[in-house]
Amino acid sequence: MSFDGGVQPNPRGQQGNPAIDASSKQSTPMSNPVETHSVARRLQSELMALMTCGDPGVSAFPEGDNIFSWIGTIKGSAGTVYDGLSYKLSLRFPTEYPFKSPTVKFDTPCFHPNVDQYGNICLDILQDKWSSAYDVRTILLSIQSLLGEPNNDSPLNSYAAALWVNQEEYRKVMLKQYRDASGVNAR
Amino acid sequence: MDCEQDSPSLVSLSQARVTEIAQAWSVFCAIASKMPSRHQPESTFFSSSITVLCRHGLRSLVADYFLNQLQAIFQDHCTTSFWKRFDGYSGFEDIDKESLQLNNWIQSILPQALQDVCYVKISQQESIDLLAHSLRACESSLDQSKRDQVAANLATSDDLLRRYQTSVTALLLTSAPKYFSEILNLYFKARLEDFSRAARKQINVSEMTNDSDQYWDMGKASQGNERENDDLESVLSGWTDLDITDMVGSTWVTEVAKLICNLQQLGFSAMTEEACACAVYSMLKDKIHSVATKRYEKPVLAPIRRWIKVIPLQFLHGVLDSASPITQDCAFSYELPSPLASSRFENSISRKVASERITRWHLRLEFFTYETLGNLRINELFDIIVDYPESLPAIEDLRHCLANTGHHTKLVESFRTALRHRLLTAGAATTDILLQYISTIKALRTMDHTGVFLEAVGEPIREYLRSRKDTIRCIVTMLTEDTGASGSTALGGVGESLLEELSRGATVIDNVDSEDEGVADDEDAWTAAERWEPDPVEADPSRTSKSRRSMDIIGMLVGIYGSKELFVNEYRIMLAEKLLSKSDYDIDREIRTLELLKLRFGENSMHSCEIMLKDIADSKRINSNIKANTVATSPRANKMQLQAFLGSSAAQNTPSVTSISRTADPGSRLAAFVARARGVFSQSEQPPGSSSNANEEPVEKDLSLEAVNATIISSLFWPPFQVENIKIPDVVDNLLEDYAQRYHTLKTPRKLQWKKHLGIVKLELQFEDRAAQFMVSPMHASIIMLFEDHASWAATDLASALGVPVSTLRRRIMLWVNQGVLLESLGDKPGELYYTIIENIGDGGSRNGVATNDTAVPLLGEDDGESAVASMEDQLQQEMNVYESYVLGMLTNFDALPLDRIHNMLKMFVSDPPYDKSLQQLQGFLSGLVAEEKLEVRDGLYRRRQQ
Repeated sequence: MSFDGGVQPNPRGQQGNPAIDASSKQSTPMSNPVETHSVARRLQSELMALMTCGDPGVSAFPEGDNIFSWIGTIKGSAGTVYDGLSYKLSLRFPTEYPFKSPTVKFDTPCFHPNVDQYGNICLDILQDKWSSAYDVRTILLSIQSLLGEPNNDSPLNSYAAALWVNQEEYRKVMLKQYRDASGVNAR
Repeated sequence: MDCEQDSPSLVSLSQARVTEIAQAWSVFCAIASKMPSRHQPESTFFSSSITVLCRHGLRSLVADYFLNQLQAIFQDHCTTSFWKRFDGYSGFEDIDKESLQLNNWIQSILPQALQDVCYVKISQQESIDLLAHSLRACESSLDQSKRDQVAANLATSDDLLRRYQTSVTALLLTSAPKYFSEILNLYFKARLEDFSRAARKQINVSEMTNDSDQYWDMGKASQGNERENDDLESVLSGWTDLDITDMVGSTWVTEVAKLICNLQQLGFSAMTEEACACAVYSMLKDKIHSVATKRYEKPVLAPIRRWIKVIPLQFLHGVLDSASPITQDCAFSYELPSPLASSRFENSISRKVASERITRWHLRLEFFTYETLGNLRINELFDIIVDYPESLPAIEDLRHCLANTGHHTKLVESFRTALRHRLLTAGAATTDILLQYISTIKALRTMDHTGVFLEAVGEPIREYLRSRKDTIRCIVTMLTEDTGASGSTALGGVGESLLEELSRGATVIDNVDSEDEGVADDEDAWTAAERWEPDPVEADPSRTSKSRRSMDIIGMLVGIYGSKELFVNEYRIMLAEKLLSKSDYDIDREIRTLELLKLRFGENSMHSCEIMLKDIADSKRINSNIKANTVATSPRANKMQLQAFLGSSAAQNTPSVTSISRTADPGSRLAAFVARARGVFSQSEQPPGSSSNANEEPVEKDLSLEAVNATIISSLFWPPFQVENIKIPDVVDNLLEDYAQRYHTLKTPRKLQWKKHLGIVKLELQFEDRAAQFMVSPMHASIIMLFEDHASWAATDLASALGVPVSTLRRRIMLWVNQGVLLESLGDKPGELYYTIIENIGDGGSRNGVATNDTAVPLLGEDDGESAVASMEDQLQQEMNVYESYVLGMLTNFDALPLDRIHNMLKMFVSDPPYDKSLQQLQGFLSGLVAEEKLEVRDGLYRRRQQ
């Protein structure tokens, strides 16, 4: 897919993924406490990595007491139409994580070819291309780059896909939507 | 008369008989009332009247009446007058009990009064004897059958005497004033003092004739200022069994013995003994206090015990021995025993009784000594330990005392109190506390090898030390400090002893190891088992006696914190500091210390320290390698080394990213380097106004690599450094670059990364009228170098030229201001400070004590006690900084959070390192972030500040 280029190559990506993937497919969703614990540990270390790497523009933190449910924040990168805007996302991790992908949705409504009105994201690494080598940080960075480089071939929002060619118009519509949304969301 | 009723056959008595009885009775009464009298004719009347009365069966009546009569007479004539004599005592009550006047008064009154009253008593006793005699006479005239009857129920003369004695004693005791016992006390005290004075004199005399006595010499040597000691010493000098009479003279003995005998006759024996004991005890107590108080450098127990045998025991022997027979015999005999009674009672029983009494007294006195001395020493223990090891004899004494009295608990309590009041206060320096703790350990070890009481006493100290921040640092300093290097002698002394301790500890450990191997030997095991002793009951059962015994001083000091990790870490930091501040590469001492520490703490924990030392050694080699290259390649080398300048810059290298072979293995050394630069250049200060351009390119300014000495470190193994960025002058910077380049060629693929703010710079400043040498930090050197071009700088310009905040600059520049090199003044712009170089001391006028030319004054770290290595506190700060990103991350995703929510989330999600701070610590940290304008707080909610 075209936006693959936006995904940062993961240094840990090389290690025997096929084997792990295979095992992940067989592993039935049995949430036994030991596994839950190890998943929690993994998430904790991912959090730590995320906190210390200091990537600008992406951030996430467990929501409340549950480490399986996070809130993420993405800032539109400079040079794209999303520059200066920030989007909230929700990330839910299954107990089989990292062998199953997390569910990631936009909380802030996002006008984007690959995001539908409910905030669902069409991104291959969140579906069939998922690998246990990905982590929260790479997911967030992928989504950040997806904002600037949409895949217009399989749009969830065909209006946005059609509008993409006219960046100025696109930005206008998008900003209007964003303001409406934040106006609605304003508590 | 009621007596007539008593007679059973009264009615049957004829008139003549009655008259006869009445006559006899009146005669008897008349004589009895005049008793005691020695008129012989009266005694005949007396006995005849008694005979008459006895014949009529009035014998018991006669005896009773007679005794009553005597008692009444005694009471009327003696008791009151006897006690009256002592009335004068109340006049003395206000004045000192020790006064000579009082003593003289007692001396004059007491024996005489006693003598008089005894005289009365004796004459009365004689009359009783007379009565008894008469009674006996009439008994013999009775016929046999009656005599049996009489003997069965009538009193003998002994009986009568005993009754008399009882009544007299009762009379005296009931009427005795309270102060009588005091008088007795004082009397015996005075006598005891007489005795000891006489004894001392006697002994001195005997020694005069016996010059060979060594104690005498000792005593003589210390004579004058230590009179009491002298006294003791002389007493313990070969005491021969001098007879008491020889010592004090027979009159004294006679007098005292007589007095005691009188007292006992009057029934005061209990009081006498008490007074005697009291006198002896108080003298012993005074003796102990005067000899032992505040003197710890000589053993006192043994001399005092010897002294007991000489003075008090001899006194008691003299007094009680002569008295003891009296108690048995004197009371029942009419005549006074001879003063030297003992010689009269040669029979073995009395001897035995006497010696038994003396033995008992001896034991009592010794125990009293243990108790008194023990208590004294326990109360003084704190001071004793302060004086350790000079006070070792005192500790040894205390050990003996405790062994006999078992007052260990008291010791622990009293010492703990003393510690709380005198040592564990905010005013005491940590070093002092540690010194005292070490002395305590040593002292209590001597006293109690099981270590149980040490444990009890040491606990409060340890607890207190734990609460002090600089404890570890102090311990490490003490361990590693050079004996001579330390300014304070006390610290130096202990530093030495601790270092010694360390080396001793090493050998001990060796021994322990070998012992473990040798335990297989059955015989050794057997003797070890036989030597086993149970722990005292006070011991803490949760710890084994072995752990208690095996801990040595270092172990205990390190054990204050429960683990060696903290200790090792602190040592690492201090070692780093020390190594970085060295201007040469001499590390022999450190290597030795490290080896010793390794023996104690194990190779592993000292691993990084070892690498640090190795870095220094390597630096030396590399440094000379680079220098050698310089000589070969650079024609500028050795040029114009007019003024030495030890510039030090620190650098750190990161492995070059391309050097795959190195980075692939994360365990490989990420070599980091600190360079110590020695530069040669002169710094000429031009007077303001003159053309400074001329000085811009002079050869003098040439810095050669020769001037740089680098310390190259492996940063992974060194503690983190303080981070500070400064711009150093280009001249030096280029030089460092050059150095780094050479290093790179020599050690490809490694690169040098300078830590430019670390190191030492030796520089000489030349002014118009003077020159001065300094050893300062690179920051200071950079500051002053900037003044080479401009004589005056504004603070802000200077700060930007150096790349540091103004506040830092102002803090650092104070050194130069204080040295009279720069002048701080307010400029035209408000709030702006200007610094101007003082070229002539005369016109600068601010200072006159500028450093002289000859010596380079090390001024490093003088200003704000800063050190190259991040201290534990800074590390804590950095630890906290880890959480900053978490907090920021949190607040990016949540708009606003209250403090406790942040706290909980950190607790929940931060695992490496686990979040272990308190809510207060977090709050302090967050307010720091607020102050840095990273966060803002509104209504108790923290949120990120919008840019």
